[in-house]
Amino acid sequence: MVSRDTPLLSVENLETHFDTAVEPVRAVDGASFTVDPGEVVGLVGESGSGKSVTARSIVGLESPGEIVGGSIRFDGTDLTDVDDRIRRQHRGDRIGMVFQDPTATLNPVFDVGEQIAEALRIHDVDRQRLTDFMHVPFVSDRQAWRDHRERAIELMEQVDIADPGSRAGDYPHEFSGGMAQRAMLAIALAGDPDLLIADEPTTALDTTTQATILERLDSLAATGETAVLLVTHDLGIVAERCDRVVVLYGGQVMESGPTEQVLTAPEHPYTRDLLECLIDDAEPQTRLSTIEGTVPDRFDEIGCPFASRCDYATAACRTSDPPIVDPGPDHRVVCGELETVPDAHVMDGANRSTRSEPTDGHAGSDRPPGNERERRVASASRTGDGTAAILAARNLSKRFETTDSWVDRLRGNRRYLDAVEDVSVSVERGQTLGIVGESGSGKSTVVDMLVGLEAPTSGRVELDGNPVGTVADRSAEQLAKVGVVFQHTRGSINPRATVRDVIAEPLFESGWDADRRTDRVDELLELVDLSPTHADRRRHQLSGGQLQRVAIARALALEPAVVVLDEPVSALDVSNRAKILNLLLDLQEQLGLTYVVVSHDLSVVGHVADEVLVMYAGQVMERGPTETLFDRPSHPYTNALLDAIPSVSGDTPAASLPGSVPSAVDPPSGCRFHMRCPLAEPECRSETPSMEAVDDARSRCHFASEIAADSDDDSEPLEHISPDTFS
Amino acid sequence: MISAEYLAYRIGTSTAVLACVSVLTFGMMYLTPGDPARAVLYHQTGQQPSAEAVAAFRAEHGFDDPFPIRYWHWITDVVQRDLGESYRTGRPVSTMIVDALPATIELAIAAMAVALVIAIPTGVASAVYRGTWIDQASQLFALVGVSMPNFWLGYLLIIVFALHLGLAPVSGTGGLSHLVLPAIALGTGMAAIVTRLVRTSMLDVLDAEYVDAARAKGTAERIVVYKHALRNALIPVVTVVGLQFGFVLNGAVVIEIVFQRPGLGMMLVDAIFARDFPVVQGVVLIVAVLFVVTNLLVDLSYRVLDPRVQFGGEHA
Ligand code: SF4
Ligand code: SF4
Repeated sequence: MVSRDTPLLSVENLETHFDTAVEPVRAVDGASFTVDPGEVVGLVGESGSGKSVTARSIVGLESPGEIVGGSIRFDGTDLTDVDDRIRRQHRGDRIGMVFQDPTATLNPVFDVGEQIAEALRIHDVDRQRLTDFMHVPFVSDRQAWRDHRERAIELMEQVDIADPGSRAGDYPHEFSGGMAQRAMLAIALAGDPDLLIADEPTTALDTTTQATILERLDSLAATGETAVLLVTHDLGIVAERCDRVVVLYGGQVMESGPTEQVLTAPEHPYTRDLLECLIDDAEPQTRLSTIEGTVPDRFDEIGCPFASRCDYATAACRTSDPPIVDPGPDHRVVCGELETVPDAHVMDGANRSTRSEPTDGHAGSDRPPGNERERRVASASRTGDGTAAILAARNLSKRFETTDSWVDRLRGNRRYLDAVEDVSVSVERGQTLGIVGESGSGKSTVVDMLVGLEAPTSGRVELDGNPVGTVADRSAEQLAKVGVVFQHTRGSINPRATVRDVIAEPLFESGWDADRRTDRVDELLELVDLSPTHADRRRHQLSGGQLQRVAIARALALEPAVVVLDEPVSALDVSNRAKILNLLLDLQEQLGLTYVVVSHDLSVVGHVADEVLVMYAGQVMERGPTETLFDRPSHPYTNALLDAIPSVSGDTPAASLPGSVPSAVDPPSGCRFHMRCPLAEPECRSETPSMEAVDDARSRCHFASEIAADSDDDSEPLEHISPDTFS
Repeated sequence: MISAEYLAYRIGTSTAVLACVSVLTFGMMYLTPGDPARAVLYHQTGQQPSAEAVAAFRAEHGFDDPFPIRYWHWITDVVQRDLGESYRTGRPVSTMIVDALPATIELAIAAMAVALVIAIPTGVASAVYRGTWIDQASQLFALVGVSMPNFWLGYLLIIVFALHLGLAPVSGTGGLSHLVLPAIALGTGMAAIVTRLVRTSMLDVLDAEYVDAARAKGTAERIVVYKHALRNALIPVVTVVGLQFGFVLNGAVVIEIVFQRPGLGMMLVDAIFARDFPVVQGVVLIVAVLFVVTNLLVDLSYRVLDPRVQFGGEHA
């Protein structure tokens, strides 16, 4: 049993290094922190801050890195000082781990039930032969096999996987991201661990799903049996879910303490910078604050690791290790210049926007202050019917056939999936249209049709008022007019090509000669704030933020008027997200671009878009000007998306939206949202709502105007399904 | 599982490929220099045939018909499992092939077995102990194995094991002892290729997040390696091994000659020298059929192994 008064986990001066040809990279460089039993501790930092390596070192997955110093005491045992067997016994048995990308952490060739059952089998000490794990007929113990399978199904039920009996036989690729993460959670919980390490568990998920997973972790800790170490880059999540927070940079702890204290009165310049990057209460369409520079590949051995990016750095910061200061009980800050750092309460909105100006890029430095949206909305010719639209979709529908066998096809048993139904959108020159929805909402299919990768089943796409077909039918001029930044940038860039080749590809394809290509690529690199030295790098030598810049440069190569961006920032940490969003706003202003931004995250869309389209199960649920949707949503789904945004300043944690988007093969009757809608009435099940105007927005809900009126007085929040449903 | 639709599609394309091969095979005869009839008769009698003999031979074997008609006759016979008769012996070609085929397939399978038995453990060890002497030794083996021509290795084995040490028979067919040396000679090159492949594929897979996730469960390392990693690593290996089977058959033909083993190879070589066209055509066609069918089976087994492979353009 775990004793209550000593920490469960105590990491001290941990050093994990990665060997390289030059000199070792000190990924973790003397980090120390503790986790008490039943506590939720947030481990925070940008990508490259060493937080993931720290987490992995605890469970012994630091390879190819190596722990070269310090100790990891877990319930009295120093894990750095025991043999592999003991370390392995701690994994799974006492320490469970959940990883970032749930679809990559499940083995693709075994069904999900088996992978959960395996986590149980590990505790069956008498059956550890290879054959016990391979289910060899006549050799493996069938009874044990069946027992584990049954237990696995129970575990799936515990993590809210619907219909676990049949889902256990599904393979990972048949699981959505959220479901796969639940399965990972079931695996991690199989051994009833004392500590659960969750490494960016929700970064790859929809905001609504994120909230359900985090609630699950929360309720786990609430039982007092399991402590959680939550590794994340998002302070919004920390604010809502963690008891204590440890801020990591350069593999060292910069600040640690109770969440409340650290986030409301941050002392360390790095913590403050991280907080300022959040979209949270930033004025829409204004530049976000960013952290100057990027996380370096390696840090100096002496001095404060943050010195190269810190606004308050002095010579002393670089030449000697900063002291540890205790501003309050259990609150520790590692900084030598706290006197010169302004007091925390000065950190308000005004500070936010002024300080941000000189820090990133050159493009927007002459941007006039004030609310950009208002200015542009005023100047834009809003005709409403979209006649001035540069890109428009009229009654787009897309139906995919999913009949799997030709026997069925011959019999006429055809099955269809209506991915998109009757969607009309338009965006005017210089404006930004945001499309938001969970995965399965059909938003990506809309994008595919807009850019001509898919032909609509009915309806049409118009560019500059002229109907256009798919890519194959579009003229060179029409193709050049629309630039695209695809989702999953890392996957869409050829690993062997240099940045120059990647950016020049569209130029090459439209027949530019070599000299012109070189000049244009140089221009584009400058435009997206990449240095000329980046031109010769390849995919693996670029950070996530740099890759995104490459993708943007490539989309801009042929001077498009419209740029379609699919999840442009979902793979980035908060500081890179802020920088990319700033870049997009700058480019829009500088080049007069029109954007279509697609994201599952309403806060991102809300920050950049003039108008937002909320999609669900292939249909538009609500559309309207961004302010209206945020201030006075008139659809319960919009409400749910808004509530799912984690925030540092909010007093209630982000609310989850239970369930998932229904299958488009067999869409629900009546309102598509009725199965998850907290306000659903019996009539919602039978009567399909139509788009109804509520002031300047339109909403597909029977009670649209009531909901708008309700959110207008802003006093009583609408009744939502409470988080307790999940515990 | 594999849908009937996909199966029909694959069988259709395979048939089309075979149709092309059959035309080329049959057309080969026209590409050989000189009058085939004359050449055949010359080989049979050892002297210049008379004009009447040539004319009679041409008439008997329908040489005077136009190509499409002759092809049509031939192919309609072929699909009725009649490959014609040997010019030399008059025996039906199909019977000759049926007699020779088992020996060749036996050799090819034995060689594959040798290759896999060597390659999988070596490749896995090489990946798991990456950068150690084990890895280096296995990579050296792979390099030597790939660069060594199989007929050369065959002669080497004959000289060392059969002639010097007298451990195995030099040539001919018979029990297992006759199979060992040819199988090693043929399998080594394959083993080298597969070792490299297993190594790369394993290294890739060992880097995958799901392997770490399996470790995080507390799974013993050997179970991580042999259950989680190897199963995934074998997916590309199966494809290549299957594709290689066609080449192994080709190699078997060569090795048969080296070891003087009766089989398709010996039969083909004899037939080529004798200008025994029906036999040549028959053997080439059979080898092509084997090649295409193995490819089809490989493709299908690949889909069974890897549940992610989807069929028939579905959308999720
Ligand atoms: S020690 Fe110096 S460089 Fe480091 S955070 Fe404090 S002021 Fe900045
Ligand atoms: S129509 Fe009914 S179910 Fe649909 S969103 Fe409105 S209240 Fe909810």
